Amino acid sequence: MSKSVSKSVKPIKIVVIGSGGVGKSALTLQFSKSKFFLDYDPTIEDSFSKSCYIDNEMARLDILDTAGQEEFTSMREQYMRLGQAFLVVFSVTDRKGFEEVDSLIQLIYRVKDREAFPIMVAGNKIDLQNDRCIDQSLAQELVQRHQEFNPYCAYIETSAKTRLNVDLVFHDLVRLLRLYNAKGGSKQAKKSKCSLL
Amino acid sequence: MPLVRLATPARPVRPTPLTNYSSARRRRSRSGGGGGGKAHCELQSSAVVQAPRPDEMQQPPLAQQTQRLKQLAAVMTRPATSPTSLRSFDLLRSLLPRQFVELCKVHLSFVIDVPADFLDDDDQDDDSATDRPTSQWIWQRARDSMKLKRVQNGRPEAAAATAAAVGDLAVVDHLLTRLASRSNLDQVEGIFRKCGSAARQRRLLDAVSSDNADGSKDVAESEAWTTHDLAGALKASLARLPEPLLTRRLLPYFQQVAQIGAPQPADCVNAVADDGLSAVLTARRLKALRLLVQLLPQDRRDLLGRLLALLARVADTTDSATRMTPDSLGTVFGPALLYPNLEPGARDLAAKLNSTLAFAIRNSDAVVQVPDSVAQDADGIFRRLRQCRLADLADEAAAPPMPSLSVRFAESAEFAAAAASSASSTSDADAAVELAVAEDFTRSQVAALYATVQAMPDSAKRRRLIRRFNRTNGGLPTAPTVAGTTACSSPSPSSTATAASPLISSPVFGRLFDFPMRCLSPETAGR
Repeated sequence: MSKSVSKSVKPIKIVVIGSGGVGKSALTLQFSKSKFFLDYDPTIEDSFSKSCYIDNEMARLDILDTAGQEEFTSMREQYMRLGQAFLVVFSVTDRKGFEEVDSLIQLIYRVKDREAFPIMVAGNKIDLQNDRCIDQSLAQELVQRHQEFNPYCAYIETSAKTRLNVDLVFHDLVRLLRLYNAKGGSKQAKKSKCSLL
Repeated sequence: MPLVRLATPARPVRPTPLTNYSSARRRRSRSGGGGGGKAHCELQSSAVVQAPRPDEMQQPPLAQQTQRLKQLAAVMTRPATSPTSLRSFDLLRSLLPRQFVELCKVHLSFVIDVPADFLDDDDQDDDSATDRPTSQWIWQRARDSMKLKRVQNGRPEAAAATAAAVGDLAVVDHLLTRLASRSNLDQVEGIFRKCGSAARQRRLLDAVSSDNADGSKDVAESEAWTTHDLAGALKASLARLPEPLLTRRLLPYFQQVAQIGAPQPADCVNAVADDGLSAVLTARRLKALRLLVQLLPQDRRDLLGRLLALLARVADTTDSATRMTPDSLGTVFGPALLYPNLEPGARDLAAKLNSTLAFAIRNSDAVVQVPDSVAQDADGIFRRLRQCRLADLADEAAAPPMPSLSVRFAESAEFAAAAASSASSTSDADAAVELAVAEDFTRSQVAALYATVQAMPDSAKRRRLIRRFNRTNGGLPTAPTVAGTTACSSPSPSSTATAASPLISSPVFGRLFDFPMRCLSPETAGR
């Protein structure tokens, strides 16, 4: 039965972005394959899909795992145009990656030509408490600044290694997207009933 | 279409990468010793092989094939070590650039697909040619500076300064030197992968380029840059070079190296032991890279060598403190070095190019060496020139003789010799036969090429190709034209080859691979 449901559901395109080596692939693989991979290979681009029930509603997620390296930015605008929801990842042990978050969010606004868009900010690697250099409050502050004009923005701390909040971060992103679509923020806003919690 | 039948063995004019790969390999293996080549190529189907040697029917045992392939690979990968041949090689490059390019082209054509007009535009003024901005380049620059402007948000003048300043080899050079002197180079995790702070890198780039402009070293020293800053700035400066480090002319050929060892036609693979074949593929890749590196201008060649050595140092940490393998570094540096303008979505190609770069990093020392066979040929060219000069002095009145400087392909001869000495079943006579077969093969391929060109529908391209033939040979008689055309339309492969054979025995074809030396003055030639 679930198979027929999944076929009828339109896939949601989620794009995972963030600077190099912060754990985008680890997060994505942990979510889609429930595994933590130890290899340290830079990604060029990978995509995964996964179906799951979120708030009793079927969702099919097409997740695009992207390259963190600046050199691949030529691809960036293209996939940003296709994405319906964004997961912006940084590592709490890497100050520079965190500094990139703001400009990446700005880039989403610009490519989408919108003030508000479903964006989830994930502070990854919180299992490495000893190396932590980005406080939770610092990240919260950044997200709150965005929340003033973009209500569909949120912050969650994750650990791809221990699978902490990994499902939550993707599920909440889908919830944000549903909220966004329900409010008619998107052009192709669904006429369907509101799927609020 | 009949002419296709003839063209199939070589597909000389505009082959697809795959066919051309296999045809290049056929050529390679043929000239590089018939024994190994026979084993993994379906030459029996080609029109060229007329009379199989008696022992061709029984295939040599697998182990022997593998051994032969490995010998061939060993010969191909041997670097030039003798000082005389290395000196000849350098002399040839500096004194006779045209002949140098020609020599490299011939050797390259054994390992990758090289078009007829390979590096043709370059006469003496190739510097101005390479620095001429193309429209694509202008667009790229415009996009870059716009990107910078956007990032810097309201500081457009700084952005413009950065964009103008970073396009400089000296900046790369400077950053490379500083990075190489870092002691913690092999300790930093994710070096070149994790990004440094963008603002600091911009400041660093600005500082370095302004330092280079006024010759001081103060500004760049004023701040304590982290290794990540330096690494990121180095990557950025490479990516933003107006002319890529590997030069726009050679980039396509560097990219072709990625196709070596690409999925092979199934009929070639099954018979041969894998390790022998892969050894040859590795050797081909290495030789192609070596030749291309030697074709780079001096400063870029040095810079590339230092960069690869640095990357190899980073990758070589046994305790894996950096956690960067050659493959990771290849992925990270691929866009900056090998494909600055790859269209988005070409992921598979990007991965292949990255692995080529990883290969270069793994062989960072070997890549900058001169292939032995090429150096020997360069030596041979100079020896011939010296003989010509002596002949000239003896006979002043006569018109300067045309030195026939055909490339001997040191590899094929040596491989045959090596095979003869080591393999017990192969005698000297056998090696000689193999050589003869190899030569025959070249000739008939040239004949086939000529016939195909002749059979092409009349077009600008055909005329251009014929002009090239003529230029290389000093004019073609019209009679072979007819012979070639009839050969094309004849249905049986055997008659094709026989029809073509009188044509190739003509002096015109005998000189086809000679170098166009007649434009040289004896003074230059004799030096």
